[in-house]
Amino acid sequence: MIRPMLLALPLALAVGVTAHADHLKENPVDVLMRVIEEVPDSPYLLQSEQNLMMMEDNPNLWTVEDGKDLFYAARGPNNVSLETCDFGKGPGELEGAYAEMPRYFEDTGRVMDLEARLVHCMMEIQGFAADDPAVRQRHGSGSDHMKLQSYIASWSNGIPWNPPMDHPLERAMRDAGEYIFYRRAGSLDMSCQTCHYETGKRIRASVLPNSRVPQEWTKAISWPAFRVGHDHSRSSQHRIRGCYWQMRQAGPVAGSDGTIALISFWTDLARGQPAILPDMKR
Amino acid sequence: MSRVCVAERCMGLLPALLVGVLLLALSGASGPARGQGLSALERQMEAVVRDSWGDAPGVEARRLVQDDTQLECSRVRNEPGDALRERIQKRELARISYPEGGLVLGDPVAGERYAKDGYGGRVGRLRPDDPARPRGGNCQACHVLEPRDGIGGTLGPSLAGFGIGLGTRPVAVRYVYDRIYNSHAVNPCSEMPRFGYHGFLTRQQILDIAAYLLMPDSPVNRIEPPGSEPAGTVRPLP
Repeated sequence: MIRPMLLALPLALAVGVTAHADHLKENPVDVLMRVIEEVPDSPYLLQSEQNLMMMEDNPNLWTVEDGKDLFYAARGPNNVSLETCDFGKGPGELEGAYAEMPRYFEDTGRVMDLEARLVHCMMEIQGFAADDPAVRQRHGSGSDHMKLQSYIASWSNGIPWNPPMDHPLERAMRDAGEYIFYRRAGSLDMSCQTCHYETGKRIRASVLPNSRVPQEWTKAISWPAFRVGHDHSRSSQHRIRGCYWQMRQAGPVAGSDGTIALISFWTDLARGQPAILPDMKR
Repeated sequence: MSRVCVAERCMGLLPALLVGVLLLALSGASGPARGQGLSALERQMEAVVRDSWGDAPGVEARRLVQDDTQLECSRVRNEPGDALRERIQKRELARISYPEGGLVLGDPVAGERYAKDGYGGRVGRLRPDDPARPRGGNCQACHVLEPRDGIGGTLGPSLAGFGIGLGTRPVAVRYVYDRIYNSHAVNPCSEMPRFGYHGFLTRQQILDIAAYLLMPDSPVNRIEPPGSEPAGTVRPLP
């Protein structure tokens, strides 16, 4: 029943993406449809006809727009924009930058994910204090972080994930992430493997993405995405918190090496598949 | 600065690694999984975990530490060879504790509630768990429970009709009790949580769930089409 709809979808979409996010060269739905064509039987990718239909009106597109305004606005104690922030491709170069994160940054000596890098630039360039709400508030569509992350990430829409593995720290973080991914702990004996190792498994009615199928995995890791059930846009860091919460394990420290290691590993698993940004999830 | 230290440990720079191992060896207390023969790499990884989950309150920080079975199953990604299977099974069997009154099936109505309820046990709630409200086993998250259950998960096998043919014989009750109390005692490196071993469910709760699964007129064992009306109250065994 979902097939006829899927075939008709590109036609319907050819008419109009996003009057707003005009830097998006490709409609995120079209990126997703390309991925689905490779695995046309994926229960995860096809689990919600409604979500596919609603992606055209993804509320995160407004968050992206808000982020664009914020990115170029002179803000913070230093009253400057984020245009000189280097996300790995050079100051202010956003195209494809997020698809190559986490990466090692010479100026900090750390492997950083998008959120950590943004915190760094807001503090170092704009002069925000660590406890300023602009820096501290990481979650919710109304937060500066979700707006900025959504905008920066959207510049990688349709671009294949390609996190660099040149620096030894980048490889070490990927390996640490793999270790943590398979690490069972807590009072439910769970690890990421429990839910993300086979295709078509469900928790209650929700179909889970398989980390070993890159086409499923690229959608799973395409954050920021609008979470319909939360009525908010959410980040990679928020996804990690949510998983550990449900596994009844303690939540990791935001921006810690453990969380960035997990993101390094999971991005590596989706290598070569196009990022779907912004995405929309159940 | 501390973050850089973590990164160095993580990177496996030879000097840092040697210093780290030396320090651990000297202190004699590696923290997690002490005496389980962690490799140098595993010790480094555990240090990253400790630092990255550093906000956990005391009891949760201890919960973060792997026990022997968690560690061994993680190493083999839940596919143990014969020798490891045997070792884990023996060890986990010995960790099952039985009620003094023996294994007597409990209340199937309460059991149904525990099987479907996912309450409790989460870390970092603004409000702590209500001590008056029992935790749920949340079986339905991973198992289809009843023939009419249209929303059960599929990480575990379907339990629809589970008790048909098994009945309420002592051997069946014992099997279900062991399975829920400590699944590794039945199937080493099972994905299923050890509900009794961790004290997540009480022994009585496990017997209640066993009643729900085994009693002949439980909705688990009634062949009814999916989505039909609730099966009504389960009658106790005569």
